[in-house]
Amino acid sequence: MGLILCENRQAVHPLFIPDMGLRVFSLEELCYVIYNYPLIAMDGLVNQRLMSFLRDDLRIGLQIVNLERSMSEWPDHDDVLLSILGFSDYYSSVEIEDFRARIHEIRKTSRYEFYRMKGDLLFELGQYGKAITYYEKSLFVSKDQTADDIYFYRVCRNMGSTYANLYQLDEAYLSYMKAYEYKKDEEVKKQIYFLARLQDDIEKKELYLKAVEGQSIAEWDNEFEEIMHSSDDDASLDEINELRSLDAVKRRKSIETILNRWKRKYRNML
Amino acid sequence: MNKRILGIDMNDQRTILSYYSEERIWTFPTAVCRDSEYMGWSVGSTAYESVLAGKGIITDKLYSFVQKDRITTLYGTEYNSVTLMYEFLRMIIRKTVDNDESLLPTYLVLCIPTIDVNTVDRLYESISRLGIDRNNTCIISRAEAFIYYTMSQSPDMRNNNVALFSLEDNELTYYELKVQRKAKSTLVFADKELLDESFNLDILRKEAGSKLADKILLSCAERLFKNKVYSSVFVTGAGFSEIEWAQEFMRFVCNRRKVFSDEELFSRGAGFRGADLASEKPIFSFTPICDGRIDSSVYININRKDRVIAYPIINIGDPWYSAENTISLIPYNIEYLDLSIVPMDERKRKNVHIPLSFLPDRPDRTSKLSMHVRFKNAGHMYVVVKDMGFGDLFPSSGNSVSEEVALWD
Repeated sequence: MGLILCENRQAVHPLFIPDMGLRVFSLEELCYVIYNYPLIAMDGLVNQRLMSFLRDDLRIGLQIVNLERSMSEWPDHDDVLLSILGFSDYYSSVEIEDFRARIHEIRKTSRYEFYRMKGDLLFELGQYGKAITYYEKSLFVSKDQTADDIYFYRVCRNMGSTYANLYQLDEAYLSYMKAYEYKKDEEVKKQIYFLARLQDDIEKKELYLKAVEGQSIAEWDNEFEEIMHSSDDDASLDEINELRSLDAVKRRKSIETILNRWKRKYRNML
Repeated sequence: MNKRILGIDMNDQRTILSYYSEERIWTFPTAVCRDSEYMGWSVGSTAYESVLAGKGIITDKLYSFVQKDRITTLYGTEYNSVTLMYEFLRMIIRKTVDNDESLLPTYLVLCIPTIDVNTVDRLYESISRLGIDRNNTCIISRAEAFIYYTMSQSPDMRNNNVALFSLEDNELTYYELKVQRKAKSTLVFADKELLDESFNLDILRKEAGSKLADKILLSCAERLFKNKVYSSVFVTGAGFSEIEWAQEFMRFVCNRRKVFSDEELFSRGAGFRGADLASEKPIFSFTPICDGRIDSSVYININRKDRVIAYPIINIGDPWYSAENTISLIPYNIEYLDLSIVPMDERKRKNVHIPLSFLPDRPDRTSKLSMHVRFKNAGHMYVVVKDMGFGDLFPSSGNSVSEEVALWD
C-alpha cells in the first residue's frame, strides 16, 4: 500500500493496443496492461511502435537503447517486458518477479494452448472477432503434439459463444454442433436452443430446433427470458426511452451519438 | 545582451532606485502627476512644479493606491491603479537612464513593505507593461531585501543577530536577522515588527522633539536588544538621513556592535536579489525565511524502489506567491493522502489528511490523481485533488476535492 508518483506528462500520441481496442497514455497504464494481460503483452506488443512510444512520447531516454538491443537479440521479448515494468514504481520488485514466474509458466505451454488461452482472454475483453482468429489457430495441433477431445470441445464451444456474441448465428450453430460431437454436453444443446430463439429465419430456426429434439425446453425457455430481461441492453433501452423527452434537434443528435457508440462497440468486438 | 539590474524600494513616501554594482541612487516621491497642458506624465520635482503652477493633478501614495486598487479621474479620464503605477515606474526608470533606451534595465526587482497577493498581482501587471521579461522580474518584501543586503556584506557582520531600524514618517519598523547553519543548508531568518512607537518626522525639526524621538528609539532598542547578542545594527529610512539627533540611541546601539547607516539599504538589497536572479548559477547558497517566503516544507510519502520516501511538494523558503506544484499520484490501498507539514522547529510538524472517498470503485492502482498545491498567503495552502481516471481503461469521473490547509496552528 502507499502512493506511486507518476510523471505529469500524458502521451500526445498514445499507444493503441489492438487486442484490447484501447489506447495507453502513460507508463503506468502500459505497466498495468503488461502485468494484468501477459498473453497480450507476450504476443505482438513489443515492436517498433512500442519503442517509439517509449522513446518519443514517454521520453524514457537512455534506457530505451538497452531495450532496443534486447528486442533485436531475444525473440521472446520477455526481458523487454520485465524492463518496462522496472521503469516505474508501479509494481514492486516482488511483483515483477512474480510476473517473471508467470510468463515463464506461459512459455512452457504449447503453442495451440497459448492461442486458446488468448482466445479466451479476448472473449472476456469483448474482442470477439479477434477471439475467433485465435480459436481457429488453436485448432491446428501439430503432428508432434496431442490434444484430447475435451480440449477440442472447449475450443469449439467457446467459438460458438463468440460467434453468438457477434450475431453470426449460423457459424455459432456449426461450432456448437462440432463441440457436441467431441462431448455430449447438454449445456451445448441449450446454447443451440437459445440460438433458435434468436433466429428469425424460419428454415434455419427449424434446423437448429432439430438439433435439440427430444430435449425438455421449458426450463430453457425460462432461462432465456430471464437473460433477455436482465441484459445490460436495459441501459440502452433507458437511453432510448429518454429520447422521447428531447426536442427534435437534440433527439437527432442523441440518436447519432448512440448509434456511433454502438457501431464503435461492434467494430471493437471484431 | 548586457544585464542591467535595477533594484527599487517603494513605499508610500519614497521610491529609491539603484542599479546593481553602481554607486548612484535616485529618489522620488511615490507620486505621479498628470499634466493638463501636454496631457503627459511627470514625477519628482517636475510633478510638484506642475501642481504648484496649477497645470497638473498629482496622485501620491501610489503604493497604497495599488494596495486598495483605487481608481481616479484625471482631466475626465479614469485611471486605475495598475495604469498609474505603470506610468510612475516608466517615468522614474527613464529618469535613471536619461531617456537612453539602450541603458534600460533588463532585470528588475521591486521591494515593497509587505507581500499580499492582490498587490503583487497588480504590481506585476504594471511591471509587465514596461516590456521587461516576466522571468527577469521579481517582487520581494523589505525583509527579504534586508536578507540579501546583509548576506552580501562581510560574514563577520552576521556572526550573531543583525538588527535593522527603519524610520519613516509615522512608521518605525524593526527587523531582526539571524543565520542558522545546518549540515546541508544555511537558513537566514528575518523577522519584522512594526513598532507602536512611531512618530511624525516633523518633530525632529525642534530640539525638544528630537530629544523625545531619541528617547523613544532608545527605549525601543533597550527592550528589543535585551538578552540578545548582535554583531551589527543598521539604520535606514528618511528619519535616519541625519543621525545627530539620535545621540543616546546611537550610543546604546554602538556599544560593542558595528552600526551602519544606509538610506538605500532596501534598494541595494533588491539589487543583490536581482543579481542572483540574473545569474545562470545561484550566487547565494542560503534559504531566506521572511515575509513573502514559506516557513515550512510540505511532504508526501511515496513508494520509490520498494522503499517509502518523503517527497517534497513545497520547500521551505519558496516564495509563497509563486509557489505552486502539481503532481500525479496513484494511490494503492489507502483511504486518504497524508501531507506532512514540517516547520523550522521539526517538533511542531503536523499531518493533514485529504480523504479519497470521492473516488469511484475501481481495481487497485487504477485511479490517477492530480494534486495541485498553491498558496493563498504564507500561512494557508490550497490543495485540490482531482480524479484523472486511468486512460481508456478507466475514464475519469470528474470528481475532485479541495481543502484549505493552515500551515500554522
